[in-house]
Amino acid sequence: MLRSIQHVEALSSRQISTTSMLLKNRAGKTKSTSNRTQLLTYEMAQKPHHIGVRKSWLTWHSQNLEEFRQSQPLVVAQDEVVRRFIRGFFPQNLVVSGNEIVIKRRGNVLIVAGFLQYSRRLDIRRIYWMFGFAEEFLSILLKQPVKLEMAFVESEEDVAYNYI
Amino acid sequence: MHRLTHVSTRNRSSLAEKLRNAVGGQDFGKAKQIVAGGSIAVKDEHGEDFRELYVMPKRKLRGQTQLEQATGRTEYKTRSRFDLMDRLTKRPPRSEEMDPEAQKWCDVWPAARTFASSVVPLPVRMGTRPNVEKRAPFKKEGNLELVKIPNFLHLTPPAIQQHCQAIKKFCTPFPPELLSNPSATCQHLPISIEYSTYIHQGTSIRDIRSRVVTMKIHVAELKLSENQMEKLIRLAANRYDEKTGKMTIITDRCHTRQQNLDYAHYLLTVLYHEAQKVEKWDELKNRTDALKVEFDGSNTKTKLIDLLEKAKLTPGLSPSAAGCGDQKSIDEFGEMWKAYRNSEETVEKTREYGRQMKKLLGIQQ
Repeated sequence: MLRSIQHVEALSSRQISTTSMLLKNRAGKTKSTSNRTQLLTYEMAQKPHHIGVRKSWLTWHSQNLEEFRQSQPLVVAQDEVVRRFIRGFFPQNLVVSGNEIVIKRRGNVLIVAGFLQYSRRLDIRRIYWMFGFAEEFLSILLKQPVKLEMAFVESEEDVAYNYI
Repeated sequence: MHRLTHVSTRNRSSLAEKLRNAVGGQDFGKAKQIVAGGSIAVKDEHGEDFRELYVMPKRKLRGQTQLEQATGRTEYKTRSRFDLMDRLTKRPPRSEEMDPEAQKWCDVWPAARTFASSVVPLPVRMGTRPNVEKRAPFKKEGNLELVKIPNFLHLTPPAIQQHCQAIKKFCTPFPPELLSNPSATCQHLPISIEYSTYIHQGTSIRDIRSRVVTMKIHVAELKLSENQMEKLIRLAANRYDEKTGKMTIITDRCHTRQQNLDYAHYLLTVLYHEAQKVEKWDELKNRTDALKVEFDGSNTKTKLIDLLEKAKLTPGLSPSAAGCGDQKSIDEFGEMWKAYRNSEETVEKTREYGRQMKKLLGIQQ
């Protein structure tokens, strides 16, 4: 009995504690700089809800169509493998950290498109060799022909849509 | 899309000051010079000398050389870029070199390919801008949106024409009989086979739905007698469409399309031969067992003929119209009657029934 009275007293002194909202939604939000030096590509500048309206997808295949979902998880895993390989294999030539690599699938062919830059070092023979190696390696790994159709730009500024 | 950049600034960099001092920092304050020079003027909390460790590198640092260059103290040889040869051999964009009027585009872009801004001589732009009048949409070079979308630059009208010319030798002319008379298709080609091939991306080209085969047979072309036809229709059940006169056989129980096709042909053969068989119990067939209500042998026919004969015998009742009540008009009425009895009753059909009946009996319309 006594304990319960104490309990009630303790309850009466309690209050609902409130804190400010934690606005954790960070997708598509870019932080601007005071001197407008932060580079934004078109892909970055458009918000996630603009996908399919203002910007299109970074992966093109038929496995996400109705009645064609036969190996969708495989496709997602393959995409990640390809993206990581390209990021790791062309570290000197990446544009915006290799976040914008387009993967297209046509028939049994996997096509990797996007942009690379040569501002640091232009070694044409080396690039040809690396393209050949990447194509061959990914073809063996994924058991299907892989084509690299990546275009070179002078520097990262060439893909800049805006500076904020 | 989000990219983190760590920009660290050294707020208290002593190195820069030391460099400035080394180059010609005579105008700096004395105290600063002492500190920068690594003097022993600074005491630590124990009162001992704080000897700052600073090892000047033997080579001149970048800032030092830049300052010396700027002030003209020394002359430095300007060296060309180490990748100069590669940069010189770099080709200018092909779109600038090419003459779009003279060259064949099919040779430049023969097959499906990702958009390449250096090759396509079109002044295209893609992307949105909040205010297009102020700033034009994103340019062709380095435009990822143009790279993403599938293009049809390999399917220009001349390219399609070229392809058609190339495969023309494999084509046979369309049958002229069918061109002149399209309705004769079912007569010349009584069996049509439908199947679907599914093309989609993936390492496997198999699709289980491609095994389904639909076979459509124009039953009238089987040249069966009336009894045989009725038996075939009864065996085919709901596979026979009365309106079009076509029987549809859909086979999907085998694994491959070829097997299903063979099975469909087998089913057709079996149906055909089964329909031709005459069993003992076929003779037991009654009028009520027929698929359709027949005019011949019906109560209506007997009553009608009886009525017509009575009318002929009656002297006062002479048929007004010529030829009413003869065999031809009875047959005509019979056809109408059969259609009326074997289909859904509508207002028009009932009116037609009345009209025919009046005509048969010679009553004024």
